[in-house]
Amino acid sequence: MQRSASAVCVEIRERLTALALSEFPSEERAFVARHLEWCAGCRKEAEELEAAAAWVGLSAPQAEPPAELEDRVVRAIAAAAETRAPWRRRLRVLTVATAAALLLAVVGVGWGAAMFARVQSTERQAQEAARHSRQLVRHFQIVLNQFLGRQPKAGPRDQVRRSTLGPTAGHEGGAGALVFTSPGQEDWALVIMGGLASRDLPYHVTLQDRYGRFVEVGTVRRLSSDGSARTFRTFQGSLKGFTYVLVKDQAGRIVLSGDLGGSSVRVPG
Amino acid sequence: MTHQSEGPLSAKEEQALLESLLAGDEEAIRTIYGRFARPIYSLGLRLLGSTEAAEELTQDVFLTAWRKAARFDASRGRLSTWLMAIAHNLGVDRLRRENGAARPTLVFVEEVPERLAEAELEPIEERDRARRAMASLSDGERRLLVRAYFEGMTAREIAESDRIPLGTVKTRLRTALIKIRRTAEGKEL
Repeated sequence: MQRSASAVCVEIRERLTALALSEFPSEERAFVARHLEWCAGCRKEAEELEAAAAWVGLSAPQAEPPAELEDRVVRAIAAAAETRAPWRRRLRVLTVATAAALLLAVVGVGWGAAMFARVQSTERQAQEAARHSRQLVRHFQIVLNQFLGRQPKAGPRDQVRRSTLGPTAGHEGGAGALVFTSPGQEDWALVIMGGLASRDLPYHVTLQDRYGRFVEVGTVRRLSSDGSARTFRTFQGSLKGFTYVLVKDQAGRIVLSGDLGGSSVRVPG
Repeated sequence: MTHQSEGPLSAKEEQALLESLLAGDEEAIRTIYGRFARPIYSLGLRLLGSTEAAEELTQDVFLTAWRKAARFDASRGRLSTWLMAIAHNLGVDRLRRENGAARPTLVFVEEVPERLAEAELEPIEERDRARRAMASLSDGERRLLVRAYFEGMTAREIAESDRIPLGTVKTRLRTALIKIRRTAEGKEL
């Protein structure tokens, strides 16, 4: 039997103090981190406790590190950067479209896995979830290829963040989102949804920052025959501070939510 | 050469600094080092008990920060919080790995003379806030946090050592953490 989202949150929150105090081995930290990627409530609490733990660390009397340590640190990073360089050079030959296509595949697979976990009770439903996932990936590819074909190459500070949106309690469906930010080009956001109920149309897709400010990506007024929808928008202003993707139904209830913060990927130029 | 602080960094500046670090920019490495090496090194001394281990930890923290720089999001928290969390995780992991082996002679950081440059106003101010926040805790809360944070003891180890229920230790730790954050960030209860 699957546990409700709130039951998972209770379990996670019981662990957050231990997380902030580094009690867990790295595997368990990764388990909690996966939950924090999509759960804004638990993440906020985790961030507050982590900040508190840092204040404890900063309260200690401080000693001066040996003078030569700074140069050792610089040399160590330079050496590590050197070994990573061939991979980075290979990355640079990829276009934005190629990188985005790789990302959307990850988003699609993630969404499919989430759906699979929700409907694993029957094989037919699992196949249905996998089919939806494949459809989403195809949608992503079509839209992105159309759009990215017109885009100039990425700059060094361009970035694509991705998110897999999951349903909130009592709702169904899922979505993938890509948000592109760039100091030299227009920012854009693309959200592709599936498995939504047509009775709750129209759906409003927004990006939200940590202070509750939001920008609208688009409104979905109808679903395609396979129950999916997509919305896309370019922005003159920066989307950098926006970390949450929300899909709300006609009554303003959040039906899907996801987090862009934990999965940023630099776009190779 | 250590780059000294020139006042607090805004979230935007911290984000830009991490982007430069990611690109391997030496100036960015030295700037971040100049601002944060002292608390990280000092934490290493407290946790691991030797200057050699503290130096290794400091180097590992900056290398890890460089590797993870793309994940830093200034809208979610301060750079000092992020770096101290990396330092504490690495330090406690190392402490646990070495469990069983004799711990090196503990260096009492309080006894290490401080040599602060005048320009390092931000670290002083930040540490002053942190110390005041620690001072706002009761003796029991402070002792508890020191054991959990600086000695790397788990809640279970503390509970067993003090013969008090595990749930009580967990609750007290959480309460103490919330209190210190609120005091340090000017959000007193």
